[in-house]
Amino acid sequence: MSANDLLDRLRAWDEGRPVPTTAALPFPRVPDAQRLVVAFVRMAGESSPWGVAAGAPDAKPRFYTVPEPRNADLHAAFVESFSAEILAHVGHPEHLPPPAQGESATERPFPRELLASRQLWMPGSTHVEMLHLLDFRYTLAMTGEEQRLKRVRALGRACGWLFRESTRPGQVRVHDATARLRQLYAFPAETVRQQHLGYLLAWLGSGDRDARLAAAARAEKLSVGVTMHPEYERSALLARLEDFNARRRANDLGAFAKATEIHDALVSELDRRWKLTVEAIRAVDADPRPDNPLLPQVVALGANECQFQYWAHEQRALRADLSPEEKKRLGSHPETDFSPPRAASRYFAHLHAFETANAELVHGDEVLLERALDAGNGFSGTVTAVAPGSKKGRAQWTLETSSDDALRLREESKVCLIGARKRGGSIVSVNTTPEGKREIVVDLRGVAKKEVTAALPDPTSAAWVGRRVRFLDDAVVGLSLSKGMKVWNAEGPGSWLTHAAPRPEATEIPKEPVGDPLSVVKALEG
Amino acid sequence: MPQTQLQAKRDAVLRFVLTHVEHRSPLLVLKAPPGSGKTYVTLRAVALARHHVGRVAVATQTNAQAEDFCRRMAADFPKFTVHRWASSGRAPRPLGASVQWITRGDEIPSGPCVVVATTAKWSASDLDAIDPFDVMFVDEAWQMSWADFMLLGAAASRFVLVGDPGQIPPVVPIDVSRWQTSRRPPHVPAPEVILRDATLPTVQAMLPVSTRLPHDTCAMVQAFYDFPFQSWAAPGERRLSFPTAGEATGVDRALDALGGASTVLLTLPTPPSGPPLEEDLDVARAAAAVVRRLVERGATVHTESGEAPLLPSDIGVSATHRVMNTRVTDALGPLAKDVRVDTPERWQGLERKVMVVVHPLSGVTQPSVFDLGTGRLCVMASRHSVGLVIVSRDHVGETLEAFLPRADQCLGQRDEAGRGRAQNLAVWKHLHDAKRVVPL
Amino acid sequence: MKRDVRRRLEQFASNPRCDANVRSALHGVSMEAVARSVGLDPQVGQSPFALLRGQQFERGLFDDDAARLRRALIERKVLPGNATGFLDLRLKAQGGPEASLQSARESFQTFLKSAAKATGEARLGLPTLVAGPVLTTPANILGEGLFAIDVLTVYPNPKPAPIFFRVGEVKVYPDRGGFTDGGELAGARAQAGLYVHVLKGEVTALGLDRELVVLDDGFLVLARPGSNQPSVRGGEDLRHQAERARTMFARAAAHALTLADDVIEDEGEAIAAVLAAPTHYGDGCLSFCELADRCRAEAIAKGLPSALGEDLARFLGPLDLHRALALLHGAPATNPAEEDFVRRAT
Repeated sequence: MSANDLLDRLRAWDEGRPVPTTAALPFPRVPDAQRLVVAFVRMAGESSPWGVAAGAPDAKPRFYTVPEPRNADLHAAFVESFSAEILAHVGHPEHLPPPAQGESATERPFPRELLASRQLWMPGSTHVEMLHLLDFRYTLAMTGEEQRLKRVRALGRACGWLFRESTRPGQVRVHDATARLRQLYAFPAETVRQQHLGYLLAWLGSGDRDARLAAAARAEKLSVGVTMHPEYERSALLARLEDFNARRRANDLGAFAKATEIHDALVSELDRRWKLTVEAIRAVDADPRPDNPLLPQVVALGANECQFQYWAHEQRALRADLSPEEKKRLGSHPETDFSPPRAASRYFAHLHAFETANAELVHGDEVLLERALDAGNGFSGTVTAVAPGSKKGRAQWTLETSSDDALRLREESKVCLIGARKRGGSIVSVNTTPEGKREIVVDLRGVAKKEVTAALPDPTSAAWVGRRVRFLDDAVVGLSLSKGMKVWNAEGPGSWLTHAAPRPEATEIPKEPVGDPLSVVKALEG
Repeated sequence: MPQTQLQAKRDAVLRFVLTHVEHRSPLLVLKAPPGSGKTYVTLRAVALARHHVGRVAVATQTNAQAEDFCRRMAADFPKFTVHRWASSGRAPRPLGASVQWITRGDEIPSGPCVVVATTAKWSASDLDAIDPFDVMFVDEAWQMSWADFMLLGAAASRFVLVGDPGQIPPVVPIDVSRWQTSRRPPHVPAPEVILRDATLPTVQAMLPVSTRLPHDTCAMVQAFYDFPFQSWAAPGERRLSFPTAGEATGVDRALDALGGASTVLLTLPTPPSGPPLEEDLDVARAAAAVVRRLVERGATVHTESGEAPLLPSDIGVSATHRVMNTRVTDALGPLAKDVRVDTPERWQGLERKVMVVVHPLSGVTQPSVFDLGTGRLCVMASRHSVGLVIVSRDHVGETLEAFLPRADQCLGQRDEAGRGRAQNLAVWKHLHDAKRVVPL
Repeated sequence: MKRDVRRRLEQFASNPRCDANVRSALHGVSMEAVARSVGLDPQVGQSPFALLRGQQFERGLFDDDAARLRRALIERKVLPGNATGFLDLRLKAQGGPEASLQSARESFQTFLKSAAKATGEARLGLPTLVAGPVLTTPANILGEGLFAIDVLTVYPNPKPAPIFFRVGEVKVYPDRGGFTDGGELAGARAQAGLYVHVLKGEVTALGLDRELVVLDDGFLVLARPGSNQPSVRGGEDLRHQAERARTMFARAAAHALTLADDVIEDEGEAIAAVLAAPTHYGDGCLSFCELADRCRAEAIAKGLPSALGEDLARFLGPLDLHRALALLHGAPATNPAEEDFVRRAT
């Protein structure tokens, strides 16, 4: 938690309401047709869902439950029943609109336009974790009827990808509604209390501080995570479930009625969680701040991830000529990337996502810009001199800045002019003047004539002298991406170590030394 | 231990490293405590490898390190041409007659050579187009993640990784939960990944002697390391003396204490309501007063090589918060132009005869795992060759004693909070037990 | 003998700066009872399903001479492939043979003594798995209490080498690799560290610390997600958590000295003592104390920054909310701490 975050919290307390923390939204608002809202409940102690609510925010949710979640067959049937919801949303090749004429499911191109902007919304972090638990349970499922196994495994893989995607920095596909509200607003409460969606929504309601505080306190009494209140389990579910199991064992048709009762008891819990999520979406939709104008590159990166980390694997899985062994290796292991190049490649991909989101969004949000400057990732100053730069067309600016400001940038750091990203260069020197001011010299690239305007003269123009400008770190984005691709190369001479290829031979070290390497080295010294 | 014995120990490790380089051991990890001559050893191993084996690559973590290595190679082994491979945007620097500045991969000779570049340069280049190297030396290897190291697999068949395991680890800006239980966690420093894997043919060596650190400092910073090392200096051999008696102030008493041992803790009382968290003006003034009195009193430095006056440029100051460094600089007045004041991150790899540091926990009464990380304290406590004054509020020992560490790290990871508390406490207690605490 | 020493010790450790909490732990009166006594309706209780699931998981581990657990321990190399023998010291209620904690404790002490003496075949044939060994907390102001370790692995070596013990903690929550809940792991490690500390103490008290060595690393037994199969994680460094347990005992004793009252047996009097004690609200209170909401309301009324989070309290240092807001609204700073805050805030 940064100092700015804590000050925002203090400000929120002072004002008696949540205060916005950004100038623009760091994720795009999309039509409801692109959104799927999903909420889970699970039996305490178990790690798989007991019920699911799913639907677009402008429609009624559909509810799926299983009377006895500890029964593996019943659970698999239940998971199969809602798998189509998730698979259609995520764009599984068999759950898309039919391909164009003459195209087979295994050959059709990635439907980028259809899938690029899809968003999955869930009430909170425990619901997102449920995706991971479904991945664990069903991606590696081994037993069951073949068709069902195929569907539940596909569901497991889809959930696994969605969960992994939810951890990719800056991603805009999987939305934890509670976290999104925290990202947009500072709430006047402890971090631990801000994990409750109802609590946050109550603060976003109306009234003065006391009224909102009281409403939030009431809201947080109701559970919104995936587990239900123990008392509710005891009063509404325990006896019914015992009854269901007894009747089922006795092949009593009354088991169906009990299953319906259990379903109804779970639906009321699911419905509350689902509706709170829709309420959060509506709060986001009503927010007057614009979407960050530089989101397209972040969205495009997400579409690439969808294509190469999910869709392409699933399309391959449909191929008839795939051996059972190959089918087993589709997708990623739920726990981790055990293969070193895969682990490194995904690590670099996440670094790239982090760098891209940071580098892009900061230019579309004045608050982020200010914070970047506060953190020393840029500086503001007055141009005191303009001189010829290191090469023709380049200019060397001398800027005077306050020595009190933080500065993480050093000589050779790449910087760009805020408000004109193409105007950039590198820092030549950072010095303190005898008067205690900080003096920074920047070597700026030349620009094409068509880019020169009255507001943005040529960098070599003396008109810049006396102007106050801001520079921001212009870190090279793309290096991590290229590393992520290169790291698959297992052909290098050192791949025995880096990629577990066969090892080179050492020469045997003789037991009795033959000559002292120290004296050899001594003789080499000049 | 007499210096002849220390020399023998040091030579034994050097000989061990050279023997393995000479006999093409595929993987060697050399752990080096502060000021233990790792560059000296690496230079000799590089020269021997060039002499025997042929194509030698050197990867450093920064351009400055690469260029420093080239300069020293040119000075110690001028008969070997060294290629400094840099990016085209970097202006060439004079590094010595035997150093050639190159910017393109096709300028690398195909035969025996020594090529020095940063890890970033190595990993950004098309290494398939370059003849493989026989061995690659990686300097400051604890600063490099395993993922970055993997890219170097395209450059060479054998590796020597050299570094100081006690320094500040590289910053990982993303959530790495997904890879915490991976066999090769990509975000973990490469030598740690290698040392965890018993199936690898790793040869491990530790440099046994710190030439930089005074005798009793070694005992103190030993808490940060899992292998023993000793000081080149004999007990009390390095010290400060002053021509005149000091005043009856805490600062002068602390300085006088540096006549008998290398480290002293100068404490300020903690206000009942707690210390200022970042900008502690009293502490900043105390740190500056230490520097000023060192100069005013005309300190003389005594080392095994003789006596010399202590110059302002022989003194360094470090605090973890930038604002504290600014306040110390302000308080130093005209001395600021000669006394380097910086964060521990920027002090890595540098040294001074005397260091004045603000304890990282001085303004912390409820430590977090980050606060307890010992890398910064380890760096701050290991930059001096003669004397160290730690300035701190006096609550730190009590704060650490009362702190109950929460072990919520990922499965299979080190208990950093517990370890940080134990190591910080060990240093604090060491100073108390050795009666090296002087109240201001 | 006091009950629930382990729980009360953790309660103490959860907020030792709160005198009310310390007294609740000390007198053995639950905060739930205290909360009810002032008319609150705390929502407490464990899920009936969770309780059952925990019991079934543990039973499954130890059924059939702990075959399932042993397999998992061998697979993860916590036990060698040839490890055999199982000593079951669990209570009858948990599926074991022991009638009471006291009898289980005696059986374990007997085992420790005989293991230390054993030689030759008998030594190498010692059971390598012990379920439910019972320990006694050191005599302490929290009272002397009995508690059971979940599982202990034993590594017999021919004399003169000592026999090694390794502590294991069983938890039913799912092992999700690097995503496994950090809070749950912290709890499990704290418990395992407590076992290491107390077991070392017992071995020393029996004069067997040369023959029997308790290792500083332990293991966790978690559940595979969506399954009853265990997932074992070895190599858990418990050194610092054992040290934490030692510190906790020492601090509990030190706290007790500062409280004027002796341990109160009467519940009503104990509740009154808790209610009379000053409180110290923090973020963690929400997860374990039934008075948390009340204390937070008090903290808000007093303008204590901890009402808005310990991170904010750390950030404000000695300032209260009223003063911090006044400074933000332009009031002049009057001391270095306030100047520091104004600089950081602007």
